[in-house]
Amino acid sequence: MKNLKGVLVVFILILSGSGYLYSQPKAFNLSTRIQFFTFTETSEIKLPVFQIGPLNLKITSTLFAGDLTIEFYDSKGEKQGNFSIANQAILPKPDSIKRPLNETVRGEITRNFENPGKGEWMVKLIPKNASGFLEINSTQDAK
Amino acid sequence: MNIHMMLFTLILTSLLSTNAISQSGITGHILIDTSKWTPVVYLSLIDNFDQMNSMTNEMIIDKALIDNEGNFRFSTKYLPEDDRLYRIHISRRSDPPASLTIGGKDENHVFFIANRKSNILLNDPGQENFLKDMIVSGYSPNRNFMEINEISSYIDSAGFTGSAIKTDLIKNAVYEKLRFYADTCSNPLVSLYALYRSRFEKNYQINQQFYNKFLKKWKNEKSGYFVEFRKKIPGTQNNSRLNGLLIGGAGLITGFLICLAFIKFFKKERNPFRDLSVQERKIFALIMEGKSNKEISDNMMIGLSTVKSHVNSIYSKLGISSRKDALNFNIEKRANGA
Repeated sequence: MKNLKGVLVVFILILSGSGYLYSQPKAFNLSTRIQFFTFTETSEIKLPVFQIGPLNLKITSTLFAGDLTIEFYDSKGEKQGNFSIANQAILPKPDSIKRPLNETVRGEITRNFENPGKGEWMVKLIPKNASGFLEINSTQDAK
Repeated sequence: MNIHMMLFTLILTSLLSTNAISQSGITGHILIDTSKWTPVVYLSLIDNFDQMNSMTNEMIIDKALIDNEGNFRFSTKYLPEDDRLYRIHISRRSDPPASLTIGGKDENHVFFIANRKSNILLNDPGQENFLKDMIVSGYSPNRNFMEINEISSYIDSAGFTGSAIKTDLIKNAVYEKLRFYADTCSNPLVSLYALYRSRFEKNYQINQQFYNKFLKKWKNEKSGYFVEFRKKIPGTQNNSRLNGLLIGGAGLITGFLICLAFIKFFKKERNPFRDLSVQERKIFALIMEGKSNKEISDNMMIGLSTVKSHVNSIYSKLGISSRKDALNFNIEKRANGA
């Protein structure tokens, strides 16, 4: 995570490895939630893939205003998915970030990878005056 | 009699075409769990292939209610006349109308090609991935469109197992098949879609001839889909700009050379003695005979001051400053044949 200064950001990271303390991990889960307000800087979130085994990646974003493009790349730097959402609604104050449902725009992508390469995967955020939140969930079972 | 027959044919044709348009529309059948999904179908116009994974409220152009039997219908009368890409989607009750779910069991959308006269039928086969597996019929390009989706989904699913090399080989084979599809398909939009699914950005550098041939084949296609594609092919835009600059530059240089040639031609052909008046020519001839101003004045029966004035005028017009120059000037002109 870098370049997230100057915006209203709440960042919660939950890492849980059920077998993390053992020599042979059985599962590795990662959950990230980011809230942003008039966010414009391109950012990268690193997703470490430690082991061989099916990987499930789910990225969800709800946008109250602005534009947001999400791209994710495997450990070789090859793009594995993307989506873009945009909302032309005007968001005058940070405290008005809660919006009626029909005034929001939502995007969600789910991908399963049977053989994800070990290494650092990456989720790239390309926002433009974006206000809303983003959730990244990845789960991986050891083979 | 002939006029009556023509009128009858005209009316019949008109009625038939009206009937054809009135039959056009997008109809579908989908069975949803209404406790989870809002019973509304949204129709979006996708202006270019890069927007397939995009969602905004502005992309949604229409909505239709799903009745108790699972049927819905959109009119196509206001749609553009040419083929465009459309998307229908539904939303979970917890989600806004403008929501897009890509992948997974809850994938909520399906794409198809339609135009104003299309009669599209969307049918849910009742399988697990209800919208993903929807069958689109009624307009033939959609059959090819669905085949392309099927081919490329082989990669998307990443379900094949084996080494990284094997995976790459399978991917390359799929992309090759998609390029073959693009090359042989007769519908420009479907043909271009096949290329989009083949990751052409990576392939262009090693297979430029194919893409140049493709662009040449569809050079008359002016739709936004092709405009966007041409922007993505390296060199296409720059080349056209460069060509424009080269043509403009060549035109300017040619014009300049023509002007230069004209100036030289006229300079060469121009006889400086033409600028002299009749009186001045007579005086110039007397100067050539070695006559003084006084002798010229006497010979021509004009005042000495008038002779001097004429002589000055002759010098000025011929670009000389003395009688000696005048003699030399005359010799040079004769030598040049002027």
